[in-house]
Amino acid sequence: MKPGVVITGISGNLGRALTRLLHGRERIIGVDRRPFPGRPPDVEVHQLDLRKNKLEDLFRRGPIKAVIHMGILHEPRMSAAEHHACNVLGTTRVLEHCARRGVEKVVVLSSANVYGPSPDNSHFITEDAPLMAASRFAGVRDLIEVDMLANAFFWRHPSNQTVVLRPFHIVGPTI
Amino acid sequence: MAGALEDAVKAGLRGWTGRLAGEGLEERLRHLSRPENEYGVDPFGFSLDYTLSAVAPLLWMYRHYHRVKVTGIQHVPAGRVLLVSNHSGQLPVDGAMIGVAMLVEADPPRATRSMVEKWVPTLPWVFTFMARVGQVVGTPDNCKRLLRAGEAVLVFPEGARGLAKPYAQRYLLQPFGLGFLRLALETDTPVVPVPLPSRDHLHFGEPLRFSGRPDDDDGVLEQEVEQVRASIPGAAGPRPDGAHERVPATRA
Repeated sequence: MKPGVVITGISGNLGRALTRLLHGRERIIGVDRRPFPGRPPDVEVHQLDLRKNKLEDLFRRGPIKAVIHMGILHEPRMSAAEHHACNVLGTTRVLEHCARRGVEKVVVLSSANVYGPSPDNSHFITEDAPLMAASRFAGVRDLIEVDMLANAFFWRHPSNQTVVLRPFHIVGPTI
Repeated sequence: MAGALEDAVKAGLRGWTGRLAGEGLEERLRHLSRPENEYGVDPFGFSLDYTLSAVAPLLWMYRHYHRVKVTGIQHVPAGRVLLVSNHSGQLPVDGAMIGVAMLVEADPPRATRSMVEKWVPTLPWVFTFMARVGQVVGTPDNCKRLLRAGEAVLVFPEGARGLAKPYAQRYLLQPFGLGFLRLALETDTPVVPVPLPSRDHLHFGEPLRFSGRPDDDDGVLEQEVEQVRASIPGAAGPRPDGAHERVPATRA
């Protein structure tokens, strides 16, 4: 079986755009709590919560060469406790599976928002700058913790290639 | 509508700058270009086009109100340099006069980037204006980047202490911070003292060059900082004949 690429949060705008990019080249295994209407028939999408044991089944079933973790909730209507648990525990699970199965490449989608805007910031923020966003907006703490988990993973598992993306606003006709 | 008005104001001011600057200078200022992105600003938000418009009223004050006479501007070395000054009052008009002098008297003309207090970016509109005319928040990292890019950076090491002093102490120099010297040492940058107030006479001192470790103890650096501070009048305390006298900008 061709080694697969797991995309969490595949039903979102970015997930669908990424699917279009990888479709036909990689065996895509999508995970999302939401359905993916109009998905290409050869893309498998599993509607499940990242905290569930069923997630591990996907890793057991065949070799996985890369995990692109974008399944991070940004849903202000959800209770803060549920939101936090879903994001932090979900990411923890995903990273655990990556470590156990020796997934070669792990990409985690964070955001440039983790640095936080502040009048005394330097004009250019380097990636080792402290993640201060929660000082003004507590709602971003999930994302900061997810980013930190990915950072810790990066150091604890040097044999897995880990990439933490902190993009600025992503705009464009396909988003 | 607002855009058209803005353009008209900018064009009007730009014309005024041209008339005040005179022909030869107008031509030279055009060569003051720097790397700009598609929005016409450099990486720190400076826009030459905007600055040449915004400078008109300051240039008028420089020529006709303060009637600034400049000496020693040839001391400002080419490439990176730290201009160290002290300013009095909340409105940085005196700092602006240094910037104008660097534009119209220095040969070739220089854009001055001044380091401003960290609360300044909280002012809407004002900070956009400040950034367009070359001002940058005073973090060490910003200063280092500008110096490495060969800019002339204006700093006020008295910091907020210098701004917030009572009127009676307006000519009394406050203690200097050490940060600017550490930056000068780290980037091997000459320091040019520019004492203020000197409404009618702006003197650029001889460049001071320091060598040493940028991470030396405060005590070691304090002696060198004192050397810079001593080149600015008011360092020794109020004059015995009363602090209300204007302190001459140049020392005998």
